[in-house]
Amino acid sequence: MPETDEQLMLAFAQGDAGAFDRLYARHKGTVYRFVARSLPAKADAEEIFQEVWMKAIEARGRYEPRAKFTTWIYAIAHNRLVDLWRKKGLSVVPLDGGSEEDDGPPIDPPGNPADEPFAQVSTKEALERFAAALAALPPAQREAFLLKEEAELSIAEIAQATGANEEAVKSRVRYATAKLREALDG
Amino acid sequence: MAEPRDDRVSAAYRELPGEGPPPALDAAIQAAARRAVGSKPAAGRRWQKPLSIAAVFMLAIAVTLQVERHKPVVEDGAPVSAGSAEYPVPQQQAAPAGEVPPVQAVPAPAPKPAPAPPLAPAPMEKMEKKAFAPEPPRSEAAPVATPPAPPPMPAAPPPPTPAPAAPAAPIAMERAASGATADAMRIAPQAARRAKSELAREATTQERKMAEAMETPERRLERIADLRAKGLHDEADRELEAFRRDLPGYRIGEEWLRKVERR
Repeated sequence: MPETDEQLMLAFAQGDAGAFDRLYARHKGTVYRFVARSLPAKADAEEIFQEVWMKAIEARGRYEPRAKFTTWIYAIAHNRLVDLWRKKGLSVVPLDGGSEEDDGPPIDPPGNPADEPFAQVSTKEALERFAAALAALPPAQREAFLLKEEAELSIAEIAQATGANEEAVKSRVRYATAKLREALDG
Repeated sequence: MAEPRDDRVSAAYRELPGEGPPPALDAAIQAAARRAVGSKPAAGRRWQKPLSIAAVFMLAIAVTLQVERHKPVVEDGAPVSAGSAEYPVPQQQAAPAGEVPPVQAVPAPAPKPAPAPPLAPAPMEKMEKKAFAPEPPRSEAAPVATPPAPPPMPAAPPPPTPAPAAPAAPIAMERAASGATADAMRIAPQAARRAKSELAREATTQERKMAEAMETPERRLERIADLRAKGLHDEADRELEAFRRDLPGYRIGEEWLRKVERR
C-alpha cells in the first residue's frame, strides 16, 4: 500500500530519514518548477527552493496532517516568495491582492474543451510566446496558475495555501489562463 | 465550484521544458534532513533509553517488594541446600561494597538484634504504596511471568527459605536506588522464583481445600475411617473435627460413627 505524503511526513517527524527522501523525491520537481517559474533569476529560485525544504525539515515536529501535505509545502513556498518580493522592493507588483480588473479588460472564459483542438502539438514559437506570457503574468495570477497546473491543487487548496479567498483565486486562474491562451493563439 | 480550465493551455504548459533542482541541491537538502533527524531525535526515541532503564528499575523493585511481602512464610523453611545455592547474593555483594559487613559475619557478643537499616523500610513502604498500591491483586496473582517456572512442588509443605531473603531486599533497593540496575536485575530473577514458588504452594493448599469441599460426606467419612483403621487416630480426629465443622448439619449414621470415632 503506497504511503501518503502525510504518512511520510509524520514518519519523518518520528525520525525516519528515508521517509523524507521518498517525500522529497515525490515533490521536488513540482516545487522547484513552481518556484523557478515564479522568479526570473535561477539563483533566487534555488535559494527559495532550498529554504522551503529547510523550513519543512525544521517544522517537522509541528506538522499536523490537518491539510494535505502539498497545501502545506506550497504555503511555505508562497510565504518565501512573498518575503523575497518584499525584500527586493517589488511591492509595485504585489503577489497578494491587486485588482484583477486593473490588469485589463475582462476576457471571455475559455470555451467548452470538447470544441478545442487541445491535442494539437504546439509549435516552438507558440511555446516561446506561452513561456514569455507566463513570465509576464502578474505574480498573483501566475502563482495561482502554477499552483493549479504544476502543483495540481484545487481552487480551495490554492486559497488555503495563499491565504486568499476562493473567488479571488478562481478569478486569478481565469485571467491567467485567458492571457496564456491568447499568447498561444498568437 | 466550477474551476476554470483550458486544456490547450494545460497541454502547452506540460510541453514547457522540464526543470528540476540541481543534484547538489538535492544532496544538501537530504543531508540536512538526515542531520536533523540524527541530531534531534523525535520525542518517542528521545525517551526510549530513560524509559527502558526506569522500567528495569521498577521491575526490580516490584519483585523485591513481592519477596518482602512473603517473607514470613518463606522463612518457615526452605532447604538449606537450595538456599545456599540460590541466595549467595547478599554476602557476595556486601563484601565488595565494603560498607556494611553481613550480619552473620559480625561476632556474636553484641546483643544488638541486628535490625534492618533504619531508613530502608520506610522508603520501601512509601514506594510500594505509591507505585504498586493500585494493583495489589494482580501483582499477587502473577508477579513476574518472565522467570523460568520452579520445579514441581513436593507433596509436603515446601521447605524453609533461608534467612538471606531479608538482606536481599534492602540490598536490591539500595543498589537500584544508586543506579546499579544490573545488580538489581541479578537479584530480581531469584526473588521472583521464590515469590513464585510461594504462590504455587499457596495455590496447592487452596486446591486441596477446594478438593475437600468438593468431596462427598461419605467419601470423607470413608477416608477418616481408613485413617482410624490404620491407627492414625490424631489425624482421624482432626479430620473428623474438620468434617463436623464443615458440615455442622450432617448427621453421621451409627454405622459410620463406629468407624470414625475414637474408641
